[in-house]
Amino acid sequence: MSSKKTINVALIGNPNTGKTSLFNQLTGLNQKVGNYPGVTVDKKEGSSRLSNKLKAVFTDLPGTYSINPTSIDETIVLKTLLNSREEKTPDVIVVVADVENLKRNLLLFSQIKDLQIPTVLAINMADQMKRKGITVDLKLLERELGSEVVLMSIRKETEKGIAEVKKAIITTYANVKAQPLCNVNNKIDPVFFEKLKEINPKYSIYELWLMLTQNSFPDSITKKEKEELLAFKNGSKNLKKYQHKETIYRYQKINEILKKTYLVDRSKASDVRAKLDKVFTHKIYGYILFFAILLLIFQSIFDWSSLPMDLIDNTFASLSSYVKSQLPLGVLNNLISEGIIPGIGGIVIFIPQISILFLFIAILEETGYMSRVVFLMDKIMRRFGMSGKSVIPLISGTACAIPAIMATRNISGWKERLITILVTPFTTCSARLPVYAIIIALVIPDKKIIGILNLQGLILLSLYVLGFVTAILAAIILHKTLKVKSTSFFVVEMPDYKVPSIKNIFLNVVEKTKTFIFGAGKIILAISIILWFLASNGPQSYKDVEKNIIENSAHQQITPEELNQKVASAKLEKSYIGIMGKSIEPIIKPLGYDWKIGIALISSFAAREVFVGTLATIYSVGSEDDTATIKQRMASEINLQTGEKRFNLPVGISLLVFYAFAMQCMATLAIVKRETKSWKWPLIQLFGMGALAYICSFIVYQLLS
Amino acid sequence: MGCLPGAEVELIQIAPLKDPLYICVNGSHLAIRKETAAKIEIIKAK
Repeated sequence: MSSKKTINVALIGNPNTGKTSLFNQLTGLNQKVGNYPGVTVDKKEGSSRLSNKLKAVFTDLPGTYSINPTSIDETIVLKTLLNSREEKTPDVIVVVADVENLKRNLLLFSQIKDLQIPTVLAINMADQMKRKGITVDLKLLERELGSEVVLMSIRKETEKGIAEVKKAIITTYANVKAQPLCNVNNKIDPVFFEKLKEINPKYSIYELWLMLTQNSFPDSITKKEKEELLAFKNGSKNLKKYQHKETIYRYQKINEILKKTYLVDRSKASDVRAKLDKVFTHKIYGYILFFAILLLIFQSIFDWSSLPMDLIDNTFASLSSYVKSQLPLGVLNNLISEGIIPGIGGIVIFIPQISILFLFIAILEETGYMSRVVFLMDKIMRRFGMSGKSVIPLISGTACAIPAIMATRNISGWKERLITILVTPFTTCSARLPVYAIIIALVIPDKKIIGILNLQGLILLSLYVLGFVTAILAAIILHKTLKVKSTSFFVVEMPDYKVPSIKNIFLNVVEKTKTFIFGAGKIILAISIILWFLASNGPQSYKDVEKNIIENSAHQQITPEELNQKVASAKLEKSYIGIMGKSIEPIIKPLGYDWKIGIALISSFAAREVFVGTLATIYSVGSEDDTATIKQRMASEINLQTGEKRFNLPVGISLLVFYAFAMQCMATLAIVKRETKSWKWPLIQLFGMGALAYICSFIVYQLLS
Repeated sequence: MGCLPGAEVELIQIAPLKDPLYICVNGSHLAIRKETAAKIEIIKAK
């Protein structure tokens, strides 16, 4: 009996082949998302048992058309493959292909075979074969390719597909010998490749060839070896020509193989695609449908999330007061009930909206509809210096700018991508929503106009429009002013329409929501705790204030309750955070804000949603009635100079405008820095958007008051 | 992506604003911009 063993298996394939579906089915919830060292591309890993003796750790590599990379995602794939001789790199690779596009999928397969890594070919969507009139000679194909080939339909016959893939992996792992498929070197220029091989016998010719042409190197290479290779590269003239020859030769070989093994009878094909495309990409209906879908998404986000959000808000308010009454009084009690619980509540409250939005985006991507939107919108978006692919980040931006900016990676033109990154934070993200919601509820009357339209809803809608319009205007300005050289290469695959898989969508939503909670959530929680500390501590005057007030009030007729409130607000004023708020008061006064709002603004520069949490913390410090919601507390706040409510119409609108424009999200700035590889662009965003916010809020407040 | 000498290119649809083009090459359905499409040399089939 041999002992239990774990092998590494990498899944690789073109986009839209069902690679991630297979990964999800193999590993289930048994997955974790990490990062590839040095880059922000997600690394998805999960484990599964192959047999009694064999366990496998699966890696889901980013989708790629070939190993000649044109984007960061594809570079990762090449890097992983070039490092395949080292430990913890794939023992077996499963190339996932789609039966309808087998020819194109086999290009990638042939490249991997030539790296001499044991490879399984899993051809997915076999259930489509009949409808498309396709027949495959599996036995002959296996012989021609020199690999195990599995025909599966992962959506329909999941169990069977998985069992066969696992069996093929075990067989392939047992017969480790992996033969190259194409021996390209002999077909192009044998003399050239002979010379190449002499430079470094450590690597195979094909590996050296990839290093040479793709400028990507394995970790094991020494500096000297790299220099030798680069010197050789500078001495060779025909590299481009050879690359063309390589691709052409690969397709010749693939065509030869497919001619014998793969038959399409077009007369048997019935095409749903054409019929659906007629509607979805129609010059009028196409756009109407797209905007109808957008409207449906936004409508659902608000309708479905308002109940759970209220529930979360109330639950955390009562949890806070429960803990306060149960734990012994003291610093720990205050930290938990006034710092940590409201802080966690401030993160949890976003989950309903973010997950609903991710749900819709996942469905649109899974069905293949998103590519049609890209097709429809490309020409329009190009007028603004962006690409059709910018539509997805801009829509995702309404949930959170962080995943949205990461979604710009597949925009291949650098200028188009940069503009998309820079303007995405203008779209109304869900962190702005609680700020908008609470201010609108405070300053806009809840009434209907023209009989049906809710005024509050209308204002909220116009804030969304404001965000999009500003994003577009900013894009136009950037398009005209940015002097960035870039060539754009635009190719979008138009996949078949598919019925989405519930499991895929579920896992996709869970994963993205988790990324948000643990990414942005950490910052929000940390800031909540810091704020609580700053609000409940202060210099010497803070400690004296209670005594002074009690002494001063001794002669007055005053209830204990009023006294307590007086003490609390005086204490807050003298605390560290009160001092900070007061010191910026002169700057923000022209916008209509006082020092309490100033505190919230300061903390919002870490993340916008902290605004509500901060005000909650500010107003709950020392407050007797912990079950009162934040809204009730804010509504009762009075402007001492005018005697009016603090949150009146001019202040409210000024705040709304400020939050619509200002770049107040540290997490987003960090992501922009990572994605643009420089501090220049996040700083331009921070100061540009900040200045715009200040000027517009100033104008609005002065006009209204 | 399979757009190589000798391949059959079928123009399926032109986007409403005359760009991009929706084509089928070697069984792959792709959308490409006109500037990219201009680089494809075609001879008329049939």
